[in-house]
Amino acid sequence: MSNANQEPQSELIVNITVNGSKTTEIIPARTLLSEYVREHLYLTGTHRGCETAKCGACTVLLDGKAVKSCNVLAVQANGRNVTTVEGLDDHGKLSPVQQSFWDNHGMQCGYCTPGFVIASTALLNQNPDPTVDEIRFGLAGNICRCTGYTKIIESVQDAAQRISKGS
Amino acid sequence: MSKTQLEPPKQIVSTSAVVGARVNTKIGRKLVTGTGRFLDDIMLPGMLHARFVRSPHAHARILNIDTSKALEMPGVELVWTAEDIDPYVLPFSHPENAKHLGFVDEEVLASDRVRYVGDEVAVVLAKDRNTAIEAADLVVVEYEKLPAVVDAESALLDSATIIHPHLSSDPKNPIDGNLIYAGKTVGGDTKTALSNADIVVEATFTNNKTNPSPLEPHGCIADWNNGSQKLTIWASTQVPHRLPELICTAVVDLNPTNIICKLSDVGGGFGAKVGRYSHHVATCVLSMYTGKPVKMFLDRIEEMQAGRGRYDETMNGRLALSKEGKMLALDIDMLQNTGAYANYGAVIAKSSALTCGGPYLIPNQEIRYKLVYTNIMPGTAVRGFGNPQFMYAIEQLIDIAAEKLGMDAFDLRLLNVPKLSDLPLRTATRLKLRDMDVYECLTQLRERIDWDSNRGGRRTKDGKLRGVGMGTVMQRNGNKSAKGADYSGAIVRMDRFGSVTVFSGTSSIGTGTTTGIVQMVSDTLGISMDRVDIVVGDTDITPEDMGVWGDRSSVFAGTAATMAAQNLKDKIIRLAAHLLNTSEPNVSISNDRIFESNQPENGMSIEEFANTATYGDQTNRPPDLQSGVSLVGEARFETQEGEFMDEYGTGSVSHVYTFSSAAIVVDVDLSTGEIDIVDIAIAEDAGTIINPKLAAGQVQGAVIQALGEVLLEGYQYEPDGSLVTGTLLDYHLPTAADMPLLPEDSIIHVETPDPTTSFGQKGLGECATVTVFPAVANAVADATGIRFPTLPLSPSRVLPALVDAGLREL
Repeated sequence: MSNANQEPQSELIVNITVNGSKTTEIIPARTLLSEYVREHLYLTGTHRGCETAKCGACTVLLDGKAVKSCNVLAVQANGRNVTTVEGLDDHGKLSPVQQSFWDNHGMQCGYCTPGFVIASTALLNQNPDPTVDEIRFGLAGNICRCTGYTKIIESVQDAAQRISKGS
Repeated sequence: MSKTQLEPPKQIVSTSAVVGARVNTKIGRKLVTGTGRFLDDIMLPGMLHARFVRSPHAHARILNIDTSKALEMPGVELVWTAEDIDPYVLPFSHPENAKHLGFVDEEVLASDRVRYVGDEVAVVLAKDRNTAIEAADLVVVEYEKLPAVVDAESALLDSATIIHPHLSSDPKNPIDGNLIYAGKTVGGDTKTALSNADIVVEATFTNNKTNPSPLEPHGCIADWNNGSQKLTIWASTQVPHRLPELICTAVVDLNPTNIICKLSDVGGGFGAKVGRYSHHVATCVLSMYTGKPVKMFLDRIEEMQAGRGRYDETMNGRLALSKEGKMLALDIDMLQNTGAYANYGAVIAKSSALTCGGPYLIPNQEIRYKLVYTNIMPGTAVRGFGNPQFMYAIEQLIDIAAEKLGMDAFDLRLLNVPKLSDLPLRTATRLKLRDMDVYECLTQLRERIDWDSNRGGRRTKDGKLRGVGMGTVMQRNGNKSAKGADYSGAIVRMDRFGSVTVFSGTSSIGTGTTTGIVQMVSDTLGISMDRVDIVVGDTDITPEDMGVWGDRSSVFAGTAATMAAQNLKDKIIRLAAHLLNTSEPNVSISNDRIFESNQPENGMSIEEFANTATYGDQTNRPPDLQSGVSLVGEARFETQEGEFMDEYGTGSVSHVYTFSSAAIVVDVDLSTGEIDIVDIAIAEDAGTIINPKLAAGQVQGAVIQALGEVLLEGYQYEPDGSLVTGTLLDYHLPTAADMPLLPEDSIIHVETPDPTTSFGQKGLGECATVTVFPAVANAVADATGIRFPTLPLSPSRVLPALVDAGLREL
């Protein structure tokens, strides 16, 4: 508990680096990181599927680690680096993970796709040559209702190969 | 019967052949970059956010609603109850219920009583979504709890609480107590066949209530323009052209023509987005009232309570056979737990009763069904449309019969399916089967799954029990009878730069149909795919279409677009023949070039042609084209094969049917009760496969969706109607860690082209969802000898049964 005489702050200033750009916003303290990127920065690629940290559609990188942005307050990201799906390509050239998901049809409706692409990017950063089971369990925090996962797993395998070949 | 009454659209012989190629989906780049525009991504200036207050009780009378605290909250625009909204709305139901059964049973907001946990009671409108959510919590509703009933059998008891008393007492509809409707589908004479048969097997199975859970929740934005008096809506829907019509049945003085439905990218549907819901109606009415854009985007807890799902149905079935194994009669009593409102209950019962004979030529079929009100979430269309429930029961009856006859279950099936040479024919329920190779599918399925060495059950080296099972379906492609007509329209336009845009009334929900349509148009025109784009779903600019459901899109929207492309091509060729100084039959288009067929150097690029058609010398055209060249093709494709259902509930309602089959090998773990999926094979005849990569994706997704339902998922209600499985913590959707891989070589496509569709294509998205249900159940029975009367086959259910069967100690 904070000092009982002190009124809790209802609004705060945050400075968050998002996709390489410094952002500064005055936000309600309750603002979730998912709300921050979507409603304050208009980066709507971070999707809301469950808002209870179960589906992973809102996964972003926080200092390089995959987090579910509906389960993080924006103030917790203050002074830190956030990467959303919009920050993965290199001036229009898709990242290996993005390209692999497209080429291997690791998506159908596309609602879960940004979360999977981000989670897979984090997975491959940690483990550049994962086994199928490492991919399956590494992505178990993300739900896809369309693909049945096989083509997602194949996309990640393909991305690992592309990255190792440096393409 | 005549083979086909339809003059088929001329089937296209593919020249550049992207039809059949593994091309990438057209929308993929958008999706991997997060630049899709889903409903929640659309933000309009001045937009208000709506939120329902939902019932925490399964059955209760509303005594009083106090909105004062909510209204005091800063940022709250209004709070409405039924009393406030009722001047603007009408009660509604599925149009079939209103038209054929004479009742409507849903209200946008409950006026006097709530009937399930999640029922809409009030609506809050606020400046942002968080404010609306918090204000909704401040609405105080005083309830008088009523007794609740959650299962269909109890709901039919005389002592049961009546859920819709005013409808039950109205003689103008069939509702009697909680019985909504009892109907039947009759082909032949099962009574005589049952009494004359050598053997009759009987069993009862109940499936679980599930939620297809498209990852994008339901939502709608409505934007009333007081000047034009038009309402623009953006909806996460499978049916952009039908939704305005459906909404207008529930809104006073609103005409479908005055609604423009724009389609956001749709984050999955699976049937749950074919209907009109309270949130559609409420957003429209609130926007018309306030003059401001109004958005409602549901959250996952609302989806679990009120998002609609698959009906749980109890099948008590009898299958009669001769001692040689000829199936003689299928006789089923089906009891549907319809939930608090009738919605899709009747149309699903009718449709699935019609097709549940599957590929089996059973001469006598009688399906009797009862739809029953209970205090649980209403159901809706879900992938498979009632067929998973029926085939889960019927394919198990077939296995039981095979055991009784001492026959192999696969041999028994082969004895009762048509060969290609037997077609065309009509089944006992009058389905017209044509151009499908059931026998070949099954033969390949048997080999691929290694049926003969896996069947019979054995213990694996690591002590598990292994078995194999199978299932089939004859899946509808569209349904003329349910909708009054079945058609799709398309416009194909070439611009002055030689690029092509397809305007299709279909909806893009992840099925890949839009990419398939581009492939078909590309091949038809001889123009490369990257020159062809597609616009879907904006009802202001796309031709009318019945939407994405029932495996109909590739068949209907695909054929319509192909015909429209052919219409454009005819126009192109007419001018090109004149420009190339040759006759029309001598003009070819291929690889983005128009040329004289036997003298290819006499030609021009498609850009040059389009430029000439626009800016070229008008006098160098056929006389009737001198006043302008229209490079727009259009067509509507309407089924002539589909029929209306007759008084016996029979008739070939669909344009075409897709045969599909699945075989699955399982290991049952005696120590944990878990069921491991060891191997899966799918064999189906979906005609010409337009895109093998995307088609495989559909099958893989269908299989895993069904495995989730069969092994993991299931709604649980307390006896008082409280929802136990209200979050994704309690209702486990399958993840990559739970599910087996399904490599593409598990999927066999036997491609018998349909003669009435543009490239011979049939639908395939729903099929494998159906067949997996019985295949798993039959495999588990093969492994353990145990038939489970209910789903899912979760360890909590399997383990005690293994103990009871003496297969393991406690």
